[in-house]
Amino acid sequence: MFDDGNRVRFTRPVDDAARQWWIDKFYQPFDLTPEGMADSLMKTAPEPKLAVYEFIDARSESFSLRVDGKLADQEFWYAHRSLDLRGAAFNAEGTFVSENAQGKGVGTALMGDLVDTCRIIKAEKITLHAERTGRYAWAKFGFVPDASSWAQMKRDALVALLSSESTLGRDRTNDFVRRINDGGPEAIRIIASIDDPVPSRQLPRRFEPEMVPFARAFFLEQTGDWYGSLNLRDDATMKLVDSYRQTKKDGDR
Amino acid sequence: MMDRLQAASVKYPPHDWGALAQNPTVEIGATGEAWALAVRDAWLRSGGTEESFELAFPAYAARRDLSHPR
Repeated sequence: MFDDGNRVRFTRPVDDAARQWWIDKFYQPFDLTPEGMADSLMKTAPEPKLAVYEFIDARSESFSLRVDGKLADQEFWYAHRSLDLRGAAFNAEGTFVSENAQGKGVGTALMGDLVDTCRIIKAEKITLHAERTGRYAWAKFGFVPDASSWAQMKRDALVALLSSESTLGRDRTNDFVRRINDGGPEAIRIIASIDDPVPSRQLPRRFEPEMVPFARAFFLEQTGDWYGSLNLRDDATMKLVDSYRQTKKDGDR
Repeated sequence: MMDRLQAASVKYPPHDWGALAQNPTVEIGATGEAWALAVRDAWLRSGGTEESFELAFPAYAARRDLSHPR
């Protein structure tokens, strides 16, 4: 179970304590071997894929792995996942999909696999660092920023809203400002829903600025990366995730 | 003039749009009723009212199920 194979490898030998910890926590209750865990975490990704465990540590009750996969036309993806069992949290440290394969739902399908695995092993939240297009996409998946990221995002949002007052209208702008100023991190969903077209500052166009939805201009051009989490114990958040995944499944049929 | 402009090599600055640059309005993530409900919930939790939500997001407020009282 803990030896290198064709689909799973271990960067460091797994010591006796780690083996016993794995058996107690994952194999006996859930029938999950390290290979089975990797399969569960990436179950929708097509073969070939290879999981490499960076460590399995009984003392800290944690493990970390990276899975690499190939897609058609020499495209590829990889994803880091680490579990802190004491904190009951999976960390989706990094998911990368090569540029030509982006926008096809690979990253969100992998996140869906992670959500399912968390449900199996009863992890309570998923944490991540939202970067690049993920700054917008993970907000639409149900993630909310941590307190520190929200404090910065809120400041950036107020500036962006006031800069777009001529487009949004004075009354709506004032309402958005109040709600975001008074709201907690879940108010990221308010920002992510403002779709009024505003000029992009970055998209390459020759003669006139590209008009893009406010929310996307904000997350991709006007605020930075953020840290956040998906609360798997929050019913509203899980309804959001389930609904999105159902829509994707219906669309794929 | 236009031909020359179009033929010229133009160096654009880098951006963070990734694949979205090709289609900046493509739908991403949750949409529909569940998303509208989550946004409405965030709005009300931040102290907003049903009326102000309807003015801010008329498209969401128009959804039938959102008109029910909490």
